Amino acid sequence: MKLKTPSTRGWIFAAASGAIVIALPYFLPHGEHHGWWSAIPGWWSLFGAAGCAAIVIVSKWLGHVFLQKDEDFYE
Amino acid sequence: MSRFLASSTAARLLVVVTFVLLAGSMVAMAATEGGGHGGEHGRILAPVLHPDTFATDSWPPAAILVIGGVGILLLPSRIRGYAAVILSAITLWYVWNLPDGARLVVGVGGQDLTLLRVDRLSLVFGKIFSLIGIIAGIYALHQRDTRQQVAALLYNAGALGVTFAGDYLTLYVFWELMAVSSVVLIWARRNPESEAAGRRYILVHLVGGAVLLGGVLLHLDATGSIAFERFAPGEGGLAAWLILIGFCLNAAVPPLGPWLPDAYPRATVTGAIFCSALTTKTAVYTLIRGFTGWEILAVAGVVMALYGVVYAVLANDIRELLGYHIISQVGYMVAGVGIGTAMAVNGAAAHAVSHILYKALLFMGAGVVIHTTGREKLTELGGFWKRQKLVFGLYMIGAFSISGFPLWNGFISKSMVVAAAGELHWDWAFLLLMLASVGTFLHTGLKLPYGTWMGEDHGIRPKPAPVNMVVAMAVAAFFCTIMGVAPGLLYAHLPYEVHWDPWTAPHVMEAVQMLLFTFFVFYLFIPKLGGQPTISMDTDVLYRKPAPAVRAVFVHGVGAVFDGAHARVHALASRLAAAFRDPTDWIPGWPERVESDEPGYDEDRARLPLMLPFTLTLIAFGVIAGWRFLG
Repeated sequence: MKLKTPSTRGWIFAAASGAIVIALPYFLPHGEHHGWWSAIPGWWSLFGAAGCAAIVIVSKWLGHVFLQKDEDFYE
Repeated sequence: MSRFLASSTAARLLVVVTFVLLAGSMVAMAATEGGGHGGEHGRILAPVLHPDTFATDSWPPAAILVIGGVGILLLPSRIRGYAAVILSAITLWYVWNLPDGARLVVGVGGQDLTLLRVDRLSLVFGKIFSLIGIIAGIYALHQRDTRQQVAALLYNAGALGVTFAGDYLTLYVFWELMAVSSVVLIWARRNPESEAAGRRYILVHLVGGAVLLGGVLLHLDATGSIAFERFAPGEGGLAAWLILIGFCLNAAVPPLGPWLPDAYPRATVTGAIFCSALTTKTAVYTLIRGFTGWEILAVAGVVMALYGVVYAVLANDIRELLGYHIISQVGYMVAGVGIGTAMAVNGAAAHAVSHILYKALLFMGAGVVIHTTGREKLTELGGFWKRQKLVFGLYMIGAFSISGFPLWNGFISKSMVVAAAGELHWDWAFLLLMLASVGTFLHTGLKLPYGTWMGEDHGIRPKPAPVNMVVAMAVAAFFCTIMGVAPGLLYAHLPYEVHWDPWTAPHVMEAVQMLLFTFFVFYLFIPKLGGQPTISMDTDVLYRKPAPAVRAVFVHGVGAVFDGAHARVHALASRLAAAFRDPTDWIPGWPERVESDEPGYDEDRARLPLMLPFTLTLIAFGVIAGWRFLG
């Protein structure tokens, strides 16, 4: 099973679920404030999305320029 | 819109946003008084455990597995596997009932060796090492390889021996037992790659053991003691650093850790479960015991957590990917040791327990794939999840656990270490450990299962998995879940009293937000995350690349010298033998010996008169020397 490009319904579902998890904390008890970022709405959503993209791109770039070698590199 | 989100422009934008946010956090951290690395912010190190000690005659738990490991050789092969599981169950029962504070001290060669030291720290590690012995034993029930069965029991005995050792000498013996028994589980796969990887593995570990022993001897010389106790941060001089390096090598702390992703993917399917559980977590235990509060470990732990994530993006071999995520997850534990507060140390111990369970589950899932398809690379797998729904589902429980999903055990243990960094306002550590969590879900929870079971259909028709393998996965999944739902079951066994509730609304929402949006971006990046038929260069390049040259100098070169010397000595001996064959040839004027068939000079006849004076001289010399010596 390959994941396909989402349909319009898929995009709506993703947007709705994203909006709900961003909005939900405002209706739940607060309590933990680690740093300045706690004031940014949906901080951990942004962190998850941007962090994921950064990990893929930086790792791929490092692999491309430096780390990745042919499978017979040590032979 | 979707086209834009899938474009590289969107990806670059996201990267820029991330770096801006991270840079902003660093600036804010630096601007915050007392914040950041080095800011103590009321940091109080976890106290050294001092239970009321009492002498006991109880044997160390390792003895059960050592004696049992040899004893199962006497059993028929069809029941050895069951015997191994029963032995591990007996060991778990025995460890569970060890009283806090019990000590077994024996005097050997003028030193007191503490073969058994029971406290809350050794107990929690002893229990999980015994439990995983049962689970991994069930997973291995179908195989009949006696070497592996014995090696696995001895390996587990080594881990328990280290855990309950109260002195460095006992620790060292069991440390090396772990190295030599675990390499059998790599070599047992019996292919050239495993043989070579096992050779590298054992060489690296023997070097690490030698460094550790050097530190222990220096410590003994400096203090007169081999007691395995905590070094105060920065104290202990060279001895402490050598011991720390020895421990860090087994914990796979970069740059000392490439042995792990090199060797574990080459181990047998069943042996890898023991490997994933024992060596690095034993090292975490020793780091907690000896180096709590050493801040350099907090830095090393954070680096490890991210290092594993970067390499996991590039990995194509499914168990190599999981291996790099062992390094990443052990990073949380090492960071916890470095942070050093009671909360952080509890977090390190709790995460070790969680990690042993979910990582075993993940390796078991990967093992079933290898066992049933004969393939282990993402580029060769995909498209058969419907044929392995149960295995896929159980694997996903492990994936949710390692990713810190609410309901599973990673959520209740990893968060303790991260929160401990947050409590001290070590924002850099807090944010980077959270970033590593994103990478963990991305690879172990999304990339690996997608690429292995889903993704492009390669027409794979896996053979049925042995029932015992699936049962073992189910047992591990049960523990991952029950601990996540009822964290008190785990917290009750931690070294210090726990003042942490992971099940708060902000903490749950934090995890949900982060993981959901990680999934969204994964969806966009799927084409970039497929496996590639490459390997990733690690610090082992420093000894793997020069290996042919080193072999040429130290093996072939030395061999050539010996072979040449041997040939020359042989030639010289031949010439001398020919020259001394007839000494009369040396005398001028002596009649030439006439070569004929007639019996002439015979060296055998000449030997007796020649050797007799020598023999008599030697006897006389011996008698005189003996008389002088006795006189």
